[in-house]
Parts: sequence; structure tokens; C-alpha cells
Amino acid sequence: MISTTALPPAKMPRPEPNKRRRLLQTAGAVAFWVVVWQVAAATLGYGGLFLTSPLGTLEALARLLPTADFWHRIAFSALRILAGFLLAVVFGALLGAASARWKLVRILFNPVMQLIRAMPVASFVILALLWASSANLSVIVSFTHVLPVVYAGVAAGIADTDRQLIEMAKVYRLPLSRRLRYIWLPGIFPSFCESCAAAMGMCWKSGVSAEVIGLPDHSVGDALYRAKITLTTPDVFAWTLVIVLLSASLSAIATRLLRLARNCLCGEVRA
Amino acid sequence: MIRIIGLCKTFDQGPRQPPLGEESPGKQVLADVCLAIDGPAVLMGPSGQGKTTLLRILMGLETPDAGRIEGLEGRRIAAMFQEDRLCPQLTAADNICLTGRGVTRAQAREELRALGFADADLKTPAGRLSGGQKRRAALLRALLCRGADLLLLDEPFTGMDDALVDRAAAAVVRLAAGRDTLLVTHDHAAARLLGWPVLTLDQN
Repeated sequence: MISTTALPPAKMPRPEPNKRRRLLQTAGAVAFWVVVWQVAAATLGYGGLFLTSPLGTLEALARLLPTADFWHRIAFSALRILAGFLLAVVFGALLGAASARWKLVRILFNPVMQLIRAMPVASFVILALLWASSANLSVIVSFTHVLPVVYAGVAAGIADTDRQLIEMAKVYRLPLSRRLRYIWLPGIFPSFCESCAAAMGMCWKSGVSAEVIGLPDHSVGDALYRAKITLTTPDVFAWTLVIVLLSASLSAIATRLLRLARNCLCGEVRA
Repeated sequence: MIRIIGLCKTFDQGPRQPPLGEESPGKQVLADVCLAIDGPAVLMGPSGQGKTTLLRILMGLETPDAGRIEGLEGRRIAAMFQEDRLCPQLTAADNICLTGRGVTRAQAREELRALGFADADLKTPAGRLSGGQKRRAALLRALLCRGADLLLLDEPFTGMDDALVDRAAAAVVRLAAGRDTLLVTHDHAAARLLGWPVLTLDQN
């Protein structure tokens, strides 16, 4: 009798106890640091002037949330930072693919990407202020910080693509569309997704830093700076918390969307 | 008919430098090989005699140092490699449809079932199949490739038990009928099952 080995099904759910344990561990670690923060704020915070407590941060956030100005600033910064991110993803992907295909492109662009990676945000902001209005500063700065990350991610993904599958496609003379869909994209996606998730965090950091230096009106960076000069430390903490939450949630959304795109694009052959 | 005339191939031995004044010896894997492929044939021979290299040259993946191949122009090739080379995210049937040029998923599934795939295996991505299942899927991918008029099969029966070799050999004979086929194997029993002419590559 022919043995057909019983294998786990393709979409086997992860064992729940492990997931729950990991969640509990993370929640425990977060709770530990919140307690440390609370104790530090109570002992060293000088009534919230130097270090606001977690509760003080939440109170400040609750005060900011219902105001139109808060949402206006979030929309202003998010639109520009995400525009820079999306532009960088498109250009980074195209340049990364071109550099993997043509050596000349790689030789030309590798030093530029390394230079961009090494340059401090402040230098970029000052230069960008000479070239563009402060309102569009975060577009330029988030673009320049995301570009080398996506470029490197796509180039690495292409390098990691299975050479044996590429040979197979050559022998069977697969059309380019099928090679892209079923061989190149699945090869590139893991490293591309990873770089996009990392870049999403970076673009918020660099974008808000640029706004703090360039002070465009109605931006999150401007609000942070105002909170600093007026010594309203709880607002600084509240805005920082908002930026962290926005960055993390958008990073998670981007990763999910990319996974969905991969499953739709590379999952099934139209016979 | 495909005629292989005086084929030679030497591979570089790697970064080791030869003594001063001597040429790098390299490893000669094919030396003046002459073959004719007309219809199906089994290619046998000891390990290291260049059988896989010969197939790779026929596939256009290696260039010979000397010699020539006649009758290969315009031929559509379907191949089974030494490795399975399946897209891991696709099911076995989808892998077959990917290269099949019009083969339907239903046909692919039917042939896979005939080679021992259960319903659950048909829904499993190739990356999660067992080694033997991947081998069978790779074999069927080559055999079911419509429009291919030259089949190159490298060790297609590896990892199969006797009963499965019987079924796979029957599938090979049925699906390769009417096409030039070169099948490399070490398995004498499988070669007998096929009933094809046997060519021996022994350069010693």
C-alpha cells in the first residue's frame, strides 16, 4: 500500500496556550515598566515637570483627544509622513529591482543610499528647508529615510530568490508575468515586508523630528515643541505616546495588507 | 531526432591554484560524448559520469566546452530536475498548472491521485509535502507539460517504494508517449519496467 504521510493542514491554527503565554509575558513586561515609570515619576519627577507619571500622561491625552486641533495635527502630519513613505516604497522598490538587474545602477546608487543612511536627520532637515517649504518637510525627510531601507530590502529579496526556481522557469519558458507572480514576488516579499514594517517606524521618527526642527504650523512636531517650551511635560509625553501608537498600528496594518497582497497575488494559478 | 556530437565539459576545480607553470586541471565530466535521442530512452551509468551535466546542457543551463547538439532548435523542453524545484506556496496541482500550458487543475489532480495523493495532500502547499510527494509532483509537472516535445527526467523514481515505482513508470510510459524523452536513472528495475532502449554513459 502506498503511504501518504499525514501532514498538518496548510492553515493549522497556532497552539493557543503558547500565544496566550506570549501575550501574558508581554503584558507582564509592559506592566513592570509602567510601575517602574510610575515610581520614577513619583520620586524624581518634581511633580511631573521632569517626568510625568503614566496617569498624568493619560490625563493629558484625555484632555487633548476631544479637541479639533489634536485631530487636525494628526491628519496634517500623518498625511505628509505617509505620502513620503509611499513615495519611498515605490521608488525604493523600483530602484532596488533595477540595482539587482543592472550592475551599473547598483554601482551608482549604493553609495548614495549609504550616504542617506549615515546622514543625521538634522542635516537633512536644514537642507530640505532650503529646498522646500516647512509644510512639506516631513514628506521629504520621511521619503529620504525610508528609501534606502526599502531599496536594500528589495535588493536582498531578489538576491534571496530561489535560483533553482529561476532555472526551472527558464527551462519551461514561463511567461514573465508568471515568473514575477509565482517566483520573484514570493522570493522578494519576506524581505520587502520586513523592510516596510521597519521603515514605517523610521518614517514617523524622522518625520516628527523634522517637524520639531522646521516647525510647520498644525503639525505634531510643532505641538511637541510648543509643549516643550511651555514646560507642559504631560503634553510631551501624551504626544509621544500618540506617535508610538500611530507608528506601531500603521506598521501592523502595513504588514497585514502586504501579507494579504502576497496571498492574493502569489497564491493560486489560474489554470 | 536529437544528435549529440563530441560533447566535452570540464568544471573548474575551485579557487585552488595549480603549481607554477601548470594549467588548472579542472574536472572533466564529459569527454567526447556522442548520443542520439530518437523517441524515449533511458540513460544509465555510474555516478559522476556527467549524466546530470548532459541533461543541463540539453536544457540550456550549461554551455559545453566543445561539441555540438543538432535538432534542439525550437524544441520545447519539460524537465524533472535532480531537485524538486516546486513553488513552495502553491499546491502540487497548481505547480503542474503553472508550467502545464493549458492543463486543467482537474487533470492535474486526477494524475496526482493516481500517484497516491490523498484529498488532504491536494490542498497542501508543496513546501509542506513529504519528499516523495514532491518528487511525484515534479515528475507529473514534466509529464503533463502540454506542447513540450522533449522530456528530460533526472532520477524520477528516487525515494519511491516498489509499488509506487510501478505506478510512476506506467505514468511515464503513458504520458511520454510520442515524445523524445531522456530519462536518467540508477534503478535497473525501473528501467526494465519502462521497456525503453538503454544508453550507457561510462567514460572509464
